[in-house]
Amino acid sequence: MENYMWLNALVFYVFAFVLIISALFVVFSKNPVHSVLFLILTFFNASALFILEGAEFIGFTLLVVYAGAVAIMFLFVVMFIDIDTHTIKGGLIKALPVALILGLIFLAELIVAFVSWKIPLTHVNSDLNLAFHATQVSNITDLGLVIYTRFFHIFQMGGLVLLVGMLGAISLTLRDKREDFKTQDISQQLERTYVNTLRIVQSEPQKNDNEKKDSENEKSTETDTANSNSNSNSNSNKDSDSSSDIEKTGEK
Amino acid sequence: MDLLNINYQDYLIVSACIFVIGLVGLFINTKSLIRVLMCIELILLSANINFVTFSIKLDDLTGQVFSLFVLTVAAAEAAIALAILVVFYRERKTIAIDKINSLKG
Repeated sequence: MENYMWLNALVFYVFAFVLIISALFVVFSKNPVHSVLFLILTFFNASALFILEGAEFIGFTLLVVYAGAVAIMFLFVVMFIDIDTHTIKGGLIKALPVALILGLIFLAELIVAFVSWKIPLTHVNSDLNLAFHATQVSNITDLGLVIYTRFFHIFQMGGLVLLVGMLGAISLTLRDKREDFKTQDISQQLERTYVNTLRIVQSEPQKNDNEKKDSENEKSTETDTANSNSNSNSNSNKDSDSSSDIEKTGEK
Repeated sequence: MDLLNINYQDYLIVSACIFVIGLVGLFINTKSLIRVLMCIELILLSANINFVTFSIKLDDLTGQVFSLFVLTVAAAEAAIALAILVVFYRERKTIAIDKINSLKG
């Protein structure tokens, strides 16, 4: 038992030390690619800490989701876009005093709060206790028994968040728009005026051949896409005494 | 002997250190937008460490479940933010933070 405790402490100190050092290198490293690689190292060590704590599922999920997907996505983006590393070097000194003061204040407050925090010994939800299951089933089984039953709606909500994230990322970076893509063109909408849209056309009665043969002296209002069969739509008001067609044309 | 006895406060102190590193990184970084995102990931990681530690210590699974959802939201947020970053770089050919000031007037 004594030997096991020593090993536990050693593993904790090694992983915590590497975690903090690599987090420092994420912030202070010059090259963004190195920064992302240290971020991956940070996630590895944090997942080791989770596993050491006994939360295996969170640890492995952190490994898969963060180190496997998110950090690699960061690496892709860093390598895709051409960052000039020489211009990044400056600008560190200017905000350093403010950042250090803020960081020290936060660190002192958090450590004081965490060290002096006393745990209440009352358990509110007795079916969510870890020790209730811990001897029989693993942590993953334990979480799975809870996620799909009690937290089912929140789980679905998380899936929805991921779906919206995927759709947003795709639609933001979509480059070649399709031609028949129905979208709102705001500038075209704003420059659309009454004068440009509505056109008043003099029609000559008695001279139209077979298409307009029975639609003299009428007033018709239609769009220009329906221009070819324009007068057949408006036979109902052919006895009106206006001598001009009002054609409502579109943008083009 | 006390150093060998690892309890929950050690995890919380590690989490506080990660949080402060992320926060300081947000402030001193004036050049690269992508490092801001990395610092936000560090802060979320420290929040996760806190959740899991309290979940273990308080003997309650809710903390681990919440940590799982924090992970989900952080992944979606990273995807959206990187997409915005790529679009912004395509538009302006820079991701330097001190050049992103067109809303300042």
